[in-house]
Amino acid sequence: MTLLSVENLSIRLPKGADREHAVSEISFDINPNEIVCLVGESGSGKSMIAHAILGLLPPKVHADQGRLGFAGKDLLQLSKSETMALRGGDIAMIFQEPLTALNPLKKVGEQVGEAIRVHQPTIAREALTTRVEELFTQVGLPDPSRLRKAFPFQLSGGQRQRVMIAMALSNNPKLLIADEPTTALDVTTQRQILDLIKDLQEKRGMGVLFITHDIGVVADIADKVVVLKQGRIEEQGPAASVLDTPTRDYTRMLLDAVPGRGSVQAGETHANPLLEVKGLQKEFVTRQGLFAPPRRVLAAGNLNLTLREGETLAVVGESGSGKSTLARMVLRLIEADDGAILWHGKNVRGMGREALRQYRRRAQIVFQDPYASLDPRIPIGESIARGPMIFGTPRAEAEADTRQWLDRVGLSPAAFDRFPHEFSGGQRQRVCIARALIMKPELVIADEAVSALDVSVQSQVLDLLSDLKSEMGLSMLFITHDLRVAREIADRIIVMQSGRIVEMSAAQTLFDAPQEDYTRRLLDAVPGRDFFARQQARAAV
Amino acid sequence: MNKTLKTFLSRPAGVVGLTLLAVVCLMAALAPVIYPGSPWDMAGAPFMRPGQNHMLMGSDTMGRDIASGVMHGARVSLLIGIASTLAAVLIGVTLGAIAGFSGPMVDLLIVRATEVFQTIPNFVLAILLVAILTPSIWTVILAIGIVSWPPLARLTRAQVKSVAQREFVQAARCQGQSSMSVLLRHVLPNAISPIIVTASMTVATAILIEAALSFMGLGDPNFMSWGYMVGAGRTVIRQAWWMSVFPGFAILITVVAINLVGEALNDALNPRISRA
Repeated sequence: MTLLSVENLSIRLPKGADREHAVSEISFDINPNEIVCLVGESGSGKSMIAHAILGLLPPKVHADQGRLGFAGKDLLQLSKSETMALRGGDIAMIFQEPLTALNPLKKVGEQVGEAIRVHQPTIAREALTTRVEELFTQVGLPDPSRLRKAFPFQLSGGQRQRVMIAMALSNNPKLLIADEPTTALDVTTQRQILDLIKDLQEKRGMGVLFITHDIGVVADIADKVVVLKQGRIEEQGPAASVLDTPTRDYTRMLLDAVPGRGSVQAGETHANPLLEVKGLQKEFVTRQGLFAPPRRVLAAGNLNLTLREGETLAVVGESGSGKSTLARMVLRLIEADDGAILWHGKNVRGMGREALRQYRRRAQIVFQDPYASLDPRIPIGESIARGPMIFGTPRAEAEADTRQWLDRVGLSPAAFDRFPHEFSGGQRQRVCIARALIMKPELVIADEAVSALDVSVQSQVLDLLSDLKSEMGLSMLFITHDLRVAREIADRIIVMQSGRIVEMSAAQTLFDAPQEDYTRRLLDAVPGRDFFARQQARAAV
Repeated sequence: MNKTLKTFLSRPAGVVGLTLLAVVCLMAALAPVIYPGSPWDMAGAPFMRPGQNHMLMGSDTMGRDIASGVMHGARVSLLIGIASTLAAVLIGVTLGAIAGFSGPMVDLLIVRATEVFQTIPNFVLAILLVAILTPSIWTVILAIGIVSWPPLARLTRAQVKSVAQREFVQAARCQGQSSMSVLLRHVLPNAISPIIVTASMTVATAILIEAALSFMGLGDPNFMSWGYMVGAGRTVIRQAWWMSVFPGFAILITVVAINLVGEALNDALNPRISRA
């Protein structure tokens, strides 16, 4: 019996949007005890489908065609009160960003309790508490009776997502909709959450609609796959057949765009060291109260590393491992507590204002979030051209240079006068790369530079970076949480955990023979690892 | 600039506000043409109703023409509102930006100084300053400027602090821009919208404070002002409503107009709205 059948669904966008329909003529079924993955890049309309099912479409957007059959009714025709009864009851949803999806001022136990009380107003308080603790146990939260009383900010990202799942499960839904539930999480946490969702789905026989852009995740959990492109279904079918023998180019492109396959980069060089970090220390201290002892977080504990000229060094670790702090300390955006940073043998930490300015010209950074790292009020051309102008290049020359760089990073020179919000994420990241490289740096620090991008865009940006790198003879410090990306681009890889270097070896060695347990754990957590290994083995035969 | 103007004019609030403000400005500009005499001069019998004896808005207790007073008062109100707000913005934004952008010591000092000013009731301080400095139009402006800057300083500080943490600011630093240029070119432009809106409210408040000062007899004796007129007509409001209502209405229109303009300006200055 089908749990949810989406028949010929079209969702109309308001006038002036980039296309007429968010999705058109979508049909697929979800059965009980089945995970259906909706895969597609950003803008493919996958979240719109989820929102249509829950009646959460934004104003001015509505389904103008089709049927959403659930338990013998059409979800599109339900009255407001019927939809509300269904939401959080038979159909529940988990969101992408667990921090913003929880009310920051309310204890998490109360929030889950509230979700239950909405659907069972008569439940007694003791029963409610027991039920909440039971749910917390089921989603694998440690010490439920204590954690119940915690506020969202006191929990880690993974724990928050577990709370969200507990909330979604609180009324025993038949259908769970998960909208990119692991995108904001680390690899290892992602792995745990995926396992949890899969496990709960099997135990409860739920139908799950899982929305993701990561085909590795699909390979790990999907029973059935629906591939979306620009609001239309490209391909659908059982996971095994779609992934192993894709019939459409688009599916194949998505599969090929997953980073971290193929051979690793060439190994070590013995060029002169460009950047040396020696005994770097940093501790963040937050005072918690008048009498409470301050909270100390180690961001860097005696870090030692060397980056040679022309080399790409990847720094990999979970969030909170101190990798971004390292990048910022190298540029002195954050001051280290102790230790030395040597640039061509000269200590960066002792530099005066002018020396620091000259140094920063040679060591550029590309930030993670291409939305946040461009000044929204300045045309991008101006943002790029300002760099060389500060160092004395006349305006006309700087602007000509900028146009050239825009062309080199694959944007039209006419983009010069446009504002950041007129570009897509990938385009913005290209702008940021142009801004960094126009300074003719020797070192580029990429701080999660591709993490916020779609896989296909990610691979384009990675290609661009490695092309430019070999063209200009750059060295690169590449910070990422994604081992697959590191594998794609790095000569050597450093694995960090809570402010310390766990392992440092050539990329090949790290992937073939990891020395440390932690590295192995990270490797195992990579989504779709088994699938891609199988695929590779098959290709080799 | 063109697009900014277009967005501004596409907002009903902007058009209405600008029109009303233009009317007030026109009143100020035409006052000496239409009513060449001093607004303090007697123009007829006292307590004339509006329309009586060719006096559009009637006359006050001393037989002065209310319409003339309202027209001339527009000059004082606008001058004081704008000049004192400029003074407040100059002090507030400078201090706030310095506090938000420099180290913790400077920040602490400025915040404490701001708090000292905030603990003193605005109006009492303004009265005190004007009384000590002897009432004249410039001391009134100075006094209003001095009591109006703390909210602007606090807002600017908070804005600057939050914008300074954004990545594009760090990117600008990495480009090698000096702190001053980062602050002036990247941080302040991105922090300015709420400051502009608050400043427009400050113009409105300044006009109100001036009105209140004149109401208490602390205005410049050489200038007719709306506040003075409301104050003078207050005692006879039951018998002669027009004496307080017309100048009061003028204050209301001006304050609303300025707020509407501020609101539309906020949208127009945001490229995400104006270029969408």
